[in-house]
Order: sequence, then C-alpha cells, then structure tokens
Amino acid sequence: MTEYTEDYVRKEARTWLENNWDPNLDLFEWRNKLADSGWGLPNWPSNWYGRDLPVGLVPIVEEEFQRIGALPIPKSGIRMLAAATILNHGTEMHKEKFLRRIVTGEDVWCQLFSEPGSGSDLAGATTKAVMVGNKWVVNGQKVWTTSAHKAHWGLLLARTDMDATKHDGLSYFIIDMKQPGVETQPLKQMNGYASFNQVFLTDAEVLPDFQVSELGDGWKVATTTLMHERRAADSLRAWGQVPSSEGPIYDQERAEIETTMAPYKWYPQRAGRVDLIMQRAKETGAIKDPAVRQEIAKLMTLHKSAEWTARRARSAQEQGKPQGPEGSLGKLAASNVARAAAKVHTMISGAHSMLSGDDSPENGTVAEVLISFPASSIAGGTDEIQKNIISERVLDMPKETRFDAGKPFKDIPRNTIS
Amino acid sequence: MRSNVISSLKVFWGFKMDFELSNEQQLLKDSVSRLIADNYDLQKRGAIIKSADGYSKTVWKQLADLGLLGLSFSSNYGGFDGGPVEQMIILEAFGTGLLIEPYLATIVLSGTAIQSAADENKKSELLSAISNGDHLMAFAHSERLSRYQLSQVETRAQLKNGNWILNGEKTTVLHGGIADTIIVTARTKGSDRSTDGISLFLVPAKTKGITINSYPTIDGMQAADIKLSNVSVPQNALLGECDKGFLIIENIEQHGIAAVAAESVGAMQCVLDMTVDYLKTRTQFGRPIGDFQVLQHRAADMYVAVEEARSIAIYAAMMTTEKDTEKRRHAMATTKAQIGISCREVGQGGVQLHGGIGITEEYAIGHYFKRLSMIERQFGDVEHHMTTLSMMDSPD
Repeated sequence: MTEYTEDYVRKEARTWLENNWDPNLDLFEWRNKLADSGWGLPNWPSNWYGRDLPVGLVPIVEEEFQRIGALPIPKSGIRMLAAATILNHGTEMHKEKFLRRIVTGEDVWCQLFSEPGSGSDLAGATTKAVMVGNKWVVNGQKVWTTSAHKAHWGLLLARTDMDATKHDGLSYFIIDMKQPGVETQPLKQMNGYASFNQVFLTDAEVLPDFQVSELGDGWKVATTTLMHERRAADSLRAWGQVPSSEGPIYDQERAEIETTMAPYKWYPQRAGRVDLIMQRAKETGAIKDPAVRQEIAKLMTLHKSAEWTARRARSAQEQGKPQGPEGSLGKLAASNVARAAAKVHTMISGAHSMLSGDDSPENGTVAEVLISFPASSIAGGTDEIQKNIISERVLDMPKETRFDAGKPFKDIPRNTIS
Repeated sequence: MRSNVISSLKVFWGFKMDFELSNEQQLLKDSVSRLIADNYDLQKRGAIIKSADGYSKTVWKQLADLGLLGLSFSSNYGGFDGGPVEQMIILEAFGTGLLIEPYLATIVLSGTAIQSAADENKKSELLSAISNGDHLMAFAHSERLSRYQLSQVETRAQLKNGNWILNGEKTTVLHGGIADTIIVTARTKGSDRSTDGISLFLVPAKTKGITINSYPTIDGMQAADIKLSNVSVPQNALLGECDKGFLIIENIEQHGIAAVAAESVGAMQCVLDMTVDYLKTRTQFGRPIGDFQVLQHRAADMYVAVEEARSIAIYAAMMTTEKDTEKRRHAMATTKAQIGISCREVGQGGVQLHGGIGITEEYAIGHYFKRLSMIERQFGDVEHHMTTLSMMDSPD
C-alpha cells in the first residue's frame, strides 16, 4: 500500500476540489465527477470509484469538502450497505452494473431480510426462491424494509433449500423492485414517519446472474451486510440535515433529501441529538439545576467513551482488519447514549417535552427524540441480540441450546405469527 | 536482555500514537508481562504483601534494570522519552498482575512532581535516582478533611531564619512508610480551601519531627499517616514556585488518573477473562452455567464496560499533555468517572458471576475486586467527578 500522510492527502484533496467544485453544476454531474476522481469515497478501491485511501484519512478529505462547501456523497442508507456487500462478495458484473449508480445516488436500495416470523431469528426466513426454467421465482413476505416503496433494487435473503439446515439453506440475491411480483405497503411508526414497509413477493423473478456468492451462502453474505449496518449505527451522523447554502446544486440536494432521504430524517433524533443538549440547557435555564447538570455530565461521559470506542474501531478498520462482531460493541454504546440523551432532553424541557409536533421545543425535535430513541436499541438487531453476539462470538461462550441445530429446515419448529 | 529491550524501546518512542501496538510495543508488553508472570502469582504476591516493606526489592530492581522505571522520563535525565502508549502498556500489565510495587507513588506521582516543578539539578539527581530503583518517594497531599478536594490543605509551612518549618498531618500517603523522600504539600498563604497559597516541599523521610504510621490498604498496598511537628527543611526544599503549587498538584493527580485508568484496564480484562473461563467450565443443572443467557448478558455488559474503560484510558493518555488547563481538567474528570463506572460493573460482576467462590480469599477474583474497588475511589470517585463535570462548561 502506498504511504499516505495527512498533509499530502489534504493538499491533493484541496487542489482537486479547488479545480473541480462548482456550485452551479448539476448534482449528478458533480457526483459523476466524484465517482471518476475517487474523491467521493476515497477509501474505496481505486478501480471502483475510490482512491485506496486508509479509512483513518477520510476525515481529512471530509474536512476539505466542508472547508470549500462542496457536497459530499451521502453515505447513509441501504445503498451503502449494498455497496459494501457487493464489494465484498459481488461478481465483476455486479460491480460494473450497480456501484456507479450507488455512488451517484441514482439508484435506491432496500434490504429484504426481516420477515413477520423472523425478526431476531433472522435465519428463520421462509421466503422461498425456486428455480423455474432459467429464473428464480420468489414467494414470501418481508417487513421493516426501509425505502422499499422507492427502491430500484433489493438485497434479498431467501430460502433455496428446505432440506439443508436453517443457516445453510439460505441464498442471497439482488432483486429488481420495479416488477409486478413486488408489492409494498407502508408501516406507520409511533413517531409519525413511515420509513418502513411490508413487501409482498408473489412469483417475483430474479435472474440467475443476480445471485450473490454461492448457493447456500446467503447467511454468510447477510452477515457482512449486517456488520456494516451495525458499524453505521455506531457512527450515526446527522444525515438528512438540509444544507443551508444558496445555489441550484444545493436546491437539488435539498429536493433529494426531501424525497429519497425522507425515511432517514428522524435518524439523528433516534440517536438522541446530543449536539443540542448544551444549547437547550442554556436557553431554557435548566443549566442552573444541579440535578440536570449531573445528568448532562453522565451523558457526556457516556458519549465520550462511545466516541473513543468508535475511533478505535475506525483505527482497526484502517489497519485492514475486517469488520468483526465487535461492531456490536459500538451499537450497544450508541443505544446507551441515545437512551441517556432522551432522558436529559426531556429533563431540560420539562412538561414541554410532552407536546407533540411543532408545539414541542425546537420545532418538534425534542418530542421526536422522545418517541424515536427506542428504535435505536431495536433496529439492526436488538441490544439483546448484540449481547448474544458478544457473548457467543467475542467471548466464545457456549452457544445457547438450540433445537434447530443440524436438522433440515423442514423438520424444525417454525416461528408462528399470531 | 536489558540492552536488547532498551535499544528496541528507543527505536519506537518516536512513533506517533496509534491504537494498535507496533512490534516493538508488543515486545515491551511481552517483557513486562513475562516479568509479572514470573514474579506475581497469587502466592508470591501474598508473600510480598506480608513482608516488612510491603513491596519486593527484587522486582523493583528488575523493573529498574529493564528500564521501565525511567521509561517516561526525559533522556536528559537518564530516561527513555517514553510516550503515553508505552506508559499505558506498562501500567496495563501491572494491573494484570495486581502489582503492589511503589510505582504509582514513586514514578507516576512523585516523578510528575519533579518533572513539572523541580530545577535542573534536582531533576538530574532525583529522576535518575528513582529510575535506578535506588530511591523511593511518596506524595503526601491528602488530609483528614480533604476528601477529594485538592485545594484543602491545612498543613502549614512558614519561612523562619532561612528554613521552612512544616506543621500538620497527612493521611493515606501511598507507600509513605518506605519513601526516602516525601513530597509534602503545605499552605504558605491563604485559607484552608484556597487554591492560591499552596506550595510543595521535598522532605527527606528521616527529618526530625516526622512521625510515620504505616498500614495496609484493602488491596494489599501500603499507605501511611504522616505527622509533621516543626519539621525544618532548607529554603531550597521548595519545589516549584511558592504559593503556586495548586496547578502542579492538579497535574500530579491527572497523571495519577491516567495511570490508574490504564492499570484498571489490565485488571478488568483479567477479571473478564477469568469470569468467562469460569462460566465455561462451572457446571450446574447438568450444563456449563455460561449456557444461561442471563449470565451471558451480564458477561457481555462487563465486556462493554472493559472496552469503554480502554477507550477512555487511551483518551486520558493522550490528554495528559493537553496544554489547555480547562480541557485537561474536563478530560480527566470524564476519564475517572468512566473508569469508576467500569470498575464497579466489572469488579462486582466478576465476583457475582463466580458465586460463592468469588468471595473467598484464596481465589484470585476477590483480589482483583479489591484493587478495582480501590481504584474506583482513588483520585476521586464517580460521584465526585460527575459533580466536577456538572460544574464545568464542556470545552468541546
């Protein structure tokens, strides 16, 4: 690997941005420039829209984007999980066909993993893919599918072998969401958003080329996707925050955020909005209350530990270590921070935190934190599942007694839905 | 052996801070770990605790010979210019072995005092003496009424006929009974809790008027109450500027916090490892108790607590050299608060998951519990630091 120094990367990024950034460009024209130069996702491989830069140096590039006001590639959303999965397990055809439009944001992706009968027990999926003629034909029901109604492509976990064991009978596919066999219905959440969907697959079709990795490798590939999801949860950023600058390219991004990014608008609130705590405490005068101050101190201590744990994870990643089950650590830390932040926000706002919508402080943000934070310890694997992962895969504790181990999937007790 | 380790140490001390160990750092870690494994099993440690001095002269000499005592001191004074990572490696290993040597008292606390406040002559004299292992020191600061309040100093020092006359009483002075030189803090001006008007003095332990009463602490270390009655030391015993000692004291404590943070990480990792092993081997109801999810989740909580402690210990190590006083203060209070929380979770969890055997004297876990309980309170407990933080504006 080439030796990079911070100064060198900063200078290179700055020079490129100064020569290429233009707020009058069309948004997709700009993103195509980022894809061609590799500056949009500089830690990606250089033959696939990146520059092979160590992850640890990415913040330097991000700083340069901020300095000049250039729009970065939005890094949230399932499309980035799709990219990570394809980079790890995809064929050249997959990379060729999908990666560029992921970078430019032209394609929306969704993840078809959870089912009504398989939540924490994700490998219990019963959606079936059967080879009929020269195509896979898929039947079943998926749930908690973010952006399914907007998605062009879906990452699909489906059962291809009922005689194999639970984990070995699954395969991984990329499915075209814009086809007659795919029907989506929104699920409305208690915070008012409808970010998720139920997806009904009725004789939906997948071409054989769109299978990822070998038949029966579905669980292994899904694990890659999930580990990246946990890592993303660990460094939740305030995506969905609208840029305030004036100009056509910013208008275009604002419009995109309003539509494509809409399912993610509450994510910063889900993470607890620690960034607003001090400001809120000062403007309300709650800062003078010693009980509030104590809780703020506890929250900030938790936040600082989580921040440095995330730094260590990034550093390990930078040194080429694959994303491991330790990602669960960061996810648990993020849940703890979100919970504590919601408590402090409501302490600060007092009775006003019970107001809903725009009546609530900060145009509804505080109310949204209060009714969104519980999702942080559920989505992407509950806190309890993360603890299972830590105890079984990090601490190497005995696996819980299982009734399905070693048996063909068709013979094991199924999860019933009441 | 000695020259090998030392020359390789010199190679890597120029490296910048990273989270993963370089080969050379790994070598340092291995050599400290080996030294501890050879000298600090539970039985040998018990014998050291019972010995008259409460520490092992043999081990202390070995630490000196390996260059570990002088590791973080400047090479101008016979040290090795070690950075925060190297310091962490040593202390983490000490935590693993529950070392009861006077390292914190002599090297970390007194060493910091000398490095930050002594003149050139005293630096060369004392830093090389403590690095060689020939000279022990203690930091006598806390008093009966001080609790964790650093500015609470009632001990007085008055200049009379060219000598400083010290009167007062210091309590729980770590390794105070074996020190050759004691750094005594005393009020030279102002009221009992004022930050202004505190000064530091280098006092030979044998000076007339000093009464030392040593006793063991719960974790097997030694501490002492020290009474000073008209103790007379020459004018040049003053360490640093007169009346301006508070910032030095704070700096000493901050290095102490970073040190016990690293030490606690070593001890906590041991507790976690021992506990997980126990959960895998102890059977009840016909299966390993680690089969039970309720115990698995408690172990997972302990893992999270250890890792958060490790993260914050790294943060603390980086922040010891922060120039901005407020930022450093905030960082160290944050560190000690998190370390205290983790010590509680891991120390108490380890004993609980061991069940009955966990509370016996013969089993190792209890000894770790004792040290972690001690660290939880050393340099301020969770509540103290949370209160400190709650009274500061976050500098970030």
